[in-house]
Parts: sequence; C-alpha cells; structure tokens
Amino acid sequence: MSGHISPTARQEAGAAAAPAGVALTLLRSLVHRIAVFGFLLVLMSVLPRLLPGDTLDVLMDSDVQRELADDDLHALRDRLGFGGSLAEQVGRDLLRLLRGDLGYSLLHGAPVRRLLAEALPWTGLLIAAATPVFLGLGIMLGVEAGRQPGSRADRVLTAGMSLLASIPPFVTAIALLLVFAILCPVLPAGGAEPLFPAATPWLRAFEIARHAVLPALALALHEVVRYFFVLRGEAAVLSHRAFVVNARSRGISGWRERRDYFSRNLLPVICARLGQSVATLFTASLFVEVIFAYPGIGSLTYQAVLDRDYALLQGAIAVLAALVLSLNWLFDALTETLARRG
Amino acid sequence: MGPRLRPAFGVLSLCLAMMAQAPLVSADTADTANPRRLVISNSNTDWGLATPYLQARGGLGYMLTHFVFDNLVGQDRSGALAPELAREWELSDDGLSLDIRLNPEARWHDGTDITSSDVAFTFAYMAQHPHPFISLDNIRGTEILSPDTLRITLARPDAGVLSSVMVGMPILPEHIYRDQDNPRTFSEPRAMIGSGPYRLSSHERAKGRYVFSAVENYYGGVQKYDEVMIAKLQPEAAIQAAANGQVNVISDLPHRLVDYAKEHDLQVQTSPSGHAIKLRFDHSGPFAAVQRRQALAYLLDRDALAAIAYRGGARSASLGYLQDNSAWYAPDSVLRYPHDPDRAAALLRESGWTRDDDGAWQQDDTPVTLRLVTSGREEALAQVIKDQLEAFGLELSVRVMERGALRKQQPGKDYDLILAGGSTLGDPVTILERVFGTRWNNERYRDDGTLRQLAMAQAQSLDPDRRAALLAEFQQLYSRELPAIMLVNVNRTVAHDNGIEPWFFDEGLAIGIPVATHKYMLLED
Repeated sequence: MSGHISPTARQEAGAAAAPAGVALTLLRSLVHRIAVFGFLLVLMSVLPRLLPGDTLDVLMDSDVQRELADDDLHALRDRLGFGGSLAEQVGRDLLRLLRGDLGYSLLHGAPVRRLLAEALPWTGLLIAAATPVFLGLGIMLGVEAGRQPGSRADRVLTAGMSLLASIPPFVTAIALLLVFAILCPVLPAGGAEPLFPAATPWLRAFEIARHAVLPALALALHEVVRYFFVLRGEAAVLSHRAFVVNARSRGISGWRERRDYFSRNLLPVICARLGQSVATLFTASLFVEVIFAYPGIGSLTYQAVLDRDYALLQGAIAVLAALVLSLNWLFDALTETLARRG
Repeated sequence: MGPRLRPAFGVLSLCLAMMAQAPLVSADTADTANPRRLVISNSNTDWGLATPYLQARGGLGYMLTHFVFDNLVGQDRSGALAPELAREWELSDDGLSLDIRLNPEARWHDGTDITSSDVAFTFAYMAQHPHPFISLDNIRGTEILSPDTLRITLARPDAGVLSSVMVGMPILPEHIYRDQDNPRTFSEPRAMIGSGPYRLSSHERAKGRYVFSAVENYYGGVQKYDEVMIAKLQPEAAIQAAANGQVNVISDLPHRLVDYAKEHDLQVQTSPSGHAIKLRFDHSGPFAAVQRRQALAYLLDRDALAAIAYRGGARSASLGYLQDNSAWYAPDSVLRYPHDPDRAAALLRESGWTRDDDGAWQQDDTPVTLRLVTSGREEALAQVIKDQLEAFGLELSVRVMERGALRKQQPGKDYDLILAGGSTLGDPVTILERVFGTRWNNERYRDDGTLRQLAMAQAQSLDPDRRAALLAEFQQLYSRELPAIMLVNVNRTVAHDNGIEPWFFDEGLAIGIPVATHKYMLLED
C-alpha cells in the first residue's frame, strides 16, 4: 500500500523511472495483495475458531434438552461440517473458497453468497453516497485553508475540523440521528426504506435516498477530517511553490486558482488517500449500520461474530478483502500514473 | 464560493427542502387500503426461516415456525391445552401410552392429507435430528394404529408429556422431510410446507421483513388477516409508525417507552416473562455451603435490584423456582428471605467466614473475593449486586463477556457466581434439566437428596392434586436449599392499536415462550 508521498517527490520519482519499471512495480504490488488476501483467508478461518464456543453451541443452545452424548455430538458436528481438527477444518474452508463456493450459513439457513448479495448493495450505496461528500468537502475546505496558511479562513476551518476530529465518529453519528431524526424529525431514523415501499420506481428511489442521507453523512464526516488535514498540508506547501506565486502575481485568483493550481496538483494525493479510505469506509460502515439500523454487510458481519457463523464471517471478509485490496490497488496504479504525468 | 457552484448549491438546497417535506412513510402506500393486513414490529435481527430447523435460536424464531407448523396439541385462549392436529387424546392409566386421534380435516399446505405416519415419522426424525427445545428422551416408540390414530409409548410415566412434548413439537410432513439427511441445510421453499394457519410468502433477510399469507381452508379455524407482516423496526420508529396507522402491534416494547407509547394512543400490556434472572453457583466452591447461599438471599435486596437495574421493568422474583405466572406456584410454602444483612452476617459466620475490623469478610484470615461472570445484557444488574455486596464487606469481581464466551465458562475454574436469565415457564418436568442438568445454563445442582426426589416424583405424577402437593413441597425445599437465587422476573411488554388484542399466556406459548404475538391471536374465536 503506498503511503502518503508529496506530489513533488512523486513527480521526481516518476520522471526518473522507466515505463517498464512502473508495470513491474504494479505487478509486484498486485502479487503482494494476492498474498495478503491468501493470508487473510487463512486468518479468518483460524481466528473465529479460536473464540470460545462454536456454531453448534449456538444452534443447540437450550436448557431443557439433555446434553448430547459425545458420540452424538461428534456425529452432528461431522454432519454439519464442523468435524475434524482445526487444520482439517481450515483446509476444508480454503478448498471450498478456491472452488468459488462461499459456503452455507446454518444460522441464517441460506447460502453465504445470497446473504452477501442481499446486504452488499446497501453498504455500497452508503459508501457511494458518502464518497462525493467527503471528497468534495475535504478538497474544498482543505484547499481553502491551505492556500493561504495562517489566514482567517485557515484558522477558522482548522479549528472547526480539529473539533470535529476530537469527537469519536459514533458520537457524531448519534448526534446526527438525535438532531435530524428525533428532535427535529426531517429525516428517517433508521432502516433503508419505509415500511411500505412506494409502488413507483422514482418515488421508491427518492425514499431510499432519504433514508441514506443520515448514515451516508455520518460515514462522510468520519472521512472528511482526514482529507481536510492532508489536503490542507499539501495545499500549504503548494502555496509557496513558484508556479503558484507566479500565477498569483499574474492576477489569477478565485475559482481558477483553486481548481487549476491547487486541486489538479493534489489529485495524486487524493488518489493515494482514496486507496486507504476504501478499507476505513467499510470498517466505519459497521457502526453506522448498527446505529441507523441499516441493512448492510456491517451488521451482518457483527452478528456473524456473535453467532460463531464461520462460513458467513469468512465469506464476508473474503468478499470485502477482495474489494478493498483490488480498489486499493487500482487507486495505487492511478496515483502512480498521475504522479508520472506530473 | 465561485459563481459556477451557485446553481449546484441551489439544486442541493432544493433537494434538502423536498426531503424535509416528505412524510416519514408515503401516505398512498399506507395500510389503509388493506384492512385485512396486520403489521407487527420487532427490533430484533434475523429470526431465521419459519421451519423447525431453520428458525433462529430463541423463542421468537419458534413463534414464527409456530405460524407455519401446527403441533399435535395447541392452546385455547386461557392457555389450557386444546386440540390442534390431534382432535383427541387419551393417556393410559399407567401413563405409559398415549393414544392420539388426528383431525381428519388437517392437510399440509400442498394439499396432502396429514396422517399418523407423518406423526410417527416426526418422532423418529426428531430423535435423529435433535431440536433444541424438545426432549424426546422418554419416548420409547410410536405405533400406527390407523391413518388417523397413533399410539405413543413412553419409557416412564410423564406428567408433562402433553404440556411439553405434544404442545411443543412441530409435526413434519414425511413426504418432504424423509429424504433430508441434513435439515439444517434444507432451505428450499418446500421445507416450509407445514400445516399451520399461515405460510411464509416472502422474506427479505437484510431488512428483517417477513410476510405470511393465510392458508386457504385451514382446518383449525378462520384467519383474521389475509396477510401478516413482521418488520424489523426500532421501538421508537415503531411507535411513530403505529401512530400513523402503519404498525398494529409492537411486539417488544422496552419498559422505558411505555409512557411514550401511551402518549401515541397505543394500548400497552405487560406480563412478567417468567424468565427470571438467576444467580447461579459453582456448587463445589465457596457456595457448596447452603448457609452462604442463604446469606446471599438475605443480603441482596431484590426489590432494589429490580428498581435500580430495571427501573421498574421487573419485579423481585419468587425464590421457590416457579414464578407467579405458573399454575403450580405455591406462594405460601416459599421462604421469602426479606432483606436482612444481620441475618446474612450470622449465616456467613456460621459457615466459617469471619469479618475483620474494617468489616471485610475473610476465610482463614485471607480476604474473600468472589468472582461473578455475566453477559452484557445483565451488566447493570451485576453492577448493583456488586454495590450491595461490597457495602456489606464482600469483595466481588465482575467479568462481563459476550454470550458465546459465557457459555464456555467453567464453574470453579472461571467463576463462583454466574448471572444469567433462565426460563421457569413450560411444564415443570423441565425442572429436572434446568435445576439438575449439566449444560452451561442449567443450575447444575448436585444434591441427590429430597429435592431431586421431589422433582422426579412430580414429573411422573399423573394425579394433578398429588402433583400440586409435590410441587409445593419442592418449592419450599428449593427456597431452603437455593440451588440458584431467582433475583428478578423481567416484564415483557406489547403495545398495540385498538383493532387487535394480543395477549400473553400466563405460562407462555407452547413450551413457555413469553410472547403475545402468537398464531392464536391471528385466528377468529
């Protein structure tokens, strides 16, 4: 994963490297990611099994049924696919995943593939709705603060963002819920749709959008602070660069200065940052979905941990990891190309 | 802001203004169009599918299965046993055989006749594929006498054969399940062909939404609703939706929202759940001595526990195991243990503990520190218990863990005291497992004396008067020996509009599930 490198450094490095070298770098980072993915799969097969208790304990939890005899318990375990040593179970999991089979959740009584297909679009919607918000706000405010470091705008914005950064993100989410859904109920408090979805597609889409506003905003606020500080720093560096000073002396200001001289030069940084954001957004969607009772992969995964639902947990992590790693690689490749163009 | 951005902001503000104007739920799709639809809300997540093997753990999953699968014996409005798939039954005088005559009108949802062969198959199938709520240990076998009659033979007389097994066991269609080696992975629509008044017609798992439709020509009566929808909604949102006429019943109203629901013109019904929160013991540790268990009963102020930890959403429990919901509850024979720290101190001294100058309790000159484990759900109660014990000089360390880990805690090795809820509902035959069983959530009482004999005798006593006397004696002895201390009996609350009247059964639904939104509420009287 490429960290945050200043665009100037990148520009120089990019100019020096041969095109073949870049392809090799990208290929190498792809191989790294595939290795990380494999390691994650093993880890997600082993770790949940190290937690106390297993799926069978949850399925057979009862206080009126006599404890099953060891033989019966073994037979039931084998039949449900939990038999054998840890290594055997992990081996079986990996073989199954290699065949492209995500397995079956005994607690939901459904194939993991179907469970994820039902939940992922909702999480995807939240992330897709949040991304333009945190990018737009992050870039706009970051450039505004950084283009004249120490100015009044910078002081106000930086103070405001520091305040926002000091509030834990779940508190911000609850505050949003409290203010806009309960005290002043202009937006729905939870769920992804009203109880009775509208019959017309447009009205239905509108209702889904209304339900997504607060959770997406909570998700966006979680990220906007990070973008603000990175971009403010980068913009502050740019503001002292000769081409900016030069442009200003030629009378270039306002929107054109912000767009052509700052934002455009910050693109590689934004891309590099986006690669990391993908992972944080999926993690943050967990608490957002829980707070807003939103049907997504976060709440599904959380319940899977409590239920020791190995197949679901592993399937969810596998799909998420594949998504995060490939998007992350894509943004890295993009960063590399942008930095090279300079 | 640059001039080019202004139109974009204009559009954005317009959108926000429109959103603020839109009602919470669009009015044209509201429930008013369909008077035969009932909407029940619940804040829980997925309850699984409505089949005996795919239902989520816990009573609510069972309740959904109960919409779709009928049992041999059902309940009337008062909760008493009533015919369901079995039109009549007769227990032999020795209590070792039960003859059942099936309702000849009863059909599976696919139109197939329900026969005694299905019933015999279900007994055999459930013995092979155990269901967590149904214990078939005492069933020796079944004998098909005719397509509509069946004899069930028992190993020992069982006072609860009707009120636990027959009322609790869903009957499976043989023609669907006979080829299923693993019913837990059998989730095709066929798996949901049952005999009950409703069938599951759609299920949106991610949103926790179920729609049940009435089965045509149901043998057991007329359904009040064509469609029953169960939707996952947080209680606050559910109250708002109910005020708008979109939700009819809120099946799990938290106590804190009772007044809020009433303000929205909802009716509220509360019933003690019979799921007492119990303080259980490591019976081989410091609490092997009965005086110490009794001392704790005198020491813990149960009224204060209910008032502080549950803010009135619970009442102090009876210490004789059975709670006041039970028909077998014998209040006069149960010892009451009024809050009395002096009495507690005397008992602890008698057990060999001493008190130092600061009032702290010691055993052999080392301070006593008790270890209590519990799950997040009972965390507040554990904290109040800790406060009460420490004010008395007993050090208590509390570990709160998630349920999966709690299940694996070993008495003695990991804890002296464990705090968790446990049902006392269902036929009292369940006492044998719940008090003397060895599962993590059983009381694991080891005593082989009179208490166990009483528990066994009542479970086999076919004469109700004799059984009542035995159970009264059991409750008295239980309150003396205290295999566990029943601390509080938590309330269950349901809120509903004027169009429907859900009700709680005193002893719970079927095997003792404290829900008011059962299928009997959905049938015409």
